Amino acid sequence: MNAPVPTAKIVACPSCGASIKLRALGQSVMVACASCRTQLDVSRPDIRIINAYQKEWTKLVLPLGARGVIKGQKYEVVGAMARTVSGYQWHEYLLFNPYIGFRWLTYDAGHWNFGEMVKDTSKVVVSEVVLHAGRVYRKFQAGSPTVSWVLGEFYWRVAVGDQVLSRDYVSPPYMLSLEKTKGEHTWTLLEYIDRADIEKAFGKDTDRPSTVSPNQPNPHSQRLRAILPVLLVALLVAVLIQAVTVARSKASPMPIGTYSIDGRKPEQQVYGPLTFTAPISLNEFTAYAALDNDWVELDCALVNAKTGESRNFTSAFSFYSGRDSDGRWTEGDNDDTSLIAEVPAGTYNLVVEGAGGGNSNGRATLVHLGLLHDVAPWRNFWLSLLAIFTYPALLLWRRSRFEAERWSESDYAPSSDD
Amino acid sequence: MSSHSCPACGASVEFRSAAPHAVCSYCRSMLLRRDAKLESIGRVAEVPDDISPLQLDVAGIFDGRRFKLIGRARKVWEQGSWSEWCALFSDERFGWLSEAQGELVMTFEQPRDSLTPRVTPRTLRDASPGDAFVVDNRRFQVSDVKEVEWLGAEGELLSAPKPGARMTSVDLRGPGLEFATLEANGDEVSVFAGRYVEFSECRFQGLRRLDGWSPPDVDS
Repeated sequence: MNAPVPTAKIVACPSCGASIKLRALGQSVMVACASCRTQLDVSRPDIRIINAYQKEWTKLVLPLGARGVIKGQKYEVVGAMARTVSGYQWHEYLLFNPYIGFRWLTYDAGHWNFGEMVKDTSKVVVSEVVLHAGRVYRKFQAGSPTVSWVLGEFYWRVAVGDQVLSRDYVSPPYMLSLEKTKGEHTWTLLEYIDRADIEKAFGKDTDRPSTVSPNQPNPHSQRLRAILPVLLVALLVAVLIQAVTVARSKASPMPIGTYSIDGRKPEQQVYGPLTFTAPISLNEFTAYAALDNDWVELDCALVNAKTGESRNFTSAFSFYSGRDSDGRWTEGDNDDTSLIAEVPAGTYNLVVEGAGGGNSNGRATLVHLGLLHDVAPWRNFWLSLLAIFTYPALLLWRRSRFEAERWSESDYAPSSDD
Repeated sequence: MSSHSCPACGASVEFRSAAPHAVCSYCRSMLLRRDAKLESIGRVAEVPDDISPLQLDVAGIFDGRRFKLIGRARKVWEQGSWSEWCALFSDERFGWLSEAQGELVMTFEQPRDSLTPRVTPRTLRDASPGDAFVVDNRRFQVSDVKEVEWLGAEGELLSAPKPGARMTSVDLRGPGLEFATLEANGDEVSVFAGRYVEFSECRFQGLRRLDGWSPPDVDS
């Protein structure tokens, strides 16, 4: 087999004499000399000057000749140009691989996009939105950018001052960009490239972006998608644990009865014996009374008949109502619920000593007492749901903030669009 | 394959196809086959250097049919130049594989009456971007109009202009990836139609090795 063909040709700039390396010879038609910035016609063996010196200039982020692997393919930077629209400038780097052809890398305020011309434009459907390859693109901005400077090789004659009408449509991480010139419509499909991938590809540091770009993927959406499986598993586990807990709890009503508060001194009443069968149980005590501008306070103790160990709790409630200038008002409740947790199995007596308005106003108050043995606890379940949903809720909020920032830069902000 | 000697320099010239033209690789004479005789109709320049991975004798596949690149013309216009490779298919048909701006397009010559409206070389010159043509019942739109001349040539070719002659060439975009070219050829307008092709779909063999690059399907 023959020796490999050298892939760059060195020619002398007819304007300043500097060596110019041609990297896409035969595919490119013009080159702008890196030394004197004169634009040259390289479509024929005799190189000719197209345009003289360009005044305006900004520093290249990627040097001509830099090679890097992007999306699994190696490319060489062969050309660079800057475009400006109302004072705002970005760079477009032309990439070349002799087996693949030309691609683009755009650099805009720290954001990078990898672009390829859409050859089959019949698959681009334009209406209020743009449809392409199963994605819906929303219009983002329109403008008429002008070429500010050009360096290196291009496959068409780029000239400073060249102007196109452009329209950008976004569907992160993609953007479809339409450029209109006389009689020609060119669609370019751009894909957002993470800055880290550019740094890795070309082995150099780049500036961190300070803004949100039109088609930058929402990092919070990505994070949400990443945690979704974990979220679902956690939710499933919490629901399963609760379902098992509910299924296993007996919630058996204990025979208690009523407690009467009348004009006399508070007196102790004992209910029992009550048999608690569950090894360790949560128990729900309820008290109800039809109160009329009255209050009830019950001092309760669940006493183990064998050990004498006592679990004390208080159940208090009050209910007041009346009428004032705003109409009828009420305050408080007619009932109260107390939970007695971690009660070991055994025989218990419930000791209740109550007080209330009835002690002083002479009206008897009948308090209905209930005790459910071994109820299912719900508190931990609600707490675990709160814990599970806190981070996703935060991400959802951040995601919408990010989208708001993205669309605040659009010519077609959603508020004016819809 | 048939062997001849160049009427201008005597070097041996081989024809792999029934193409009427060939370029003598020694004296750069453009040769025309007339009956069994070879005639020199002028000289052509060598194709200037480029870094294309294509070269003569590269074999490939297009729509399931095998072809081989047997010749090339380098064409130039006011704002650029490109290569057109003459592809000889296994069924003796010819195609043109044009290589421009890093893209490949394969076209085949069509009967002249497949084109509406009919054009002459003179009216072709007045075509402008956006104009509509129908080729073989498919709608095309003019994308550009160029005055073209040959910069150089090599190998075997289906046609060859008079040295230094300029002709009008009009590119058209059709539905999907379809592409067509109308080219003034003497008093007639030739019609070529085909489509864009991906480098990888041709499964090329015998490619030029390019320093520092490897073909897409070979690991570097």
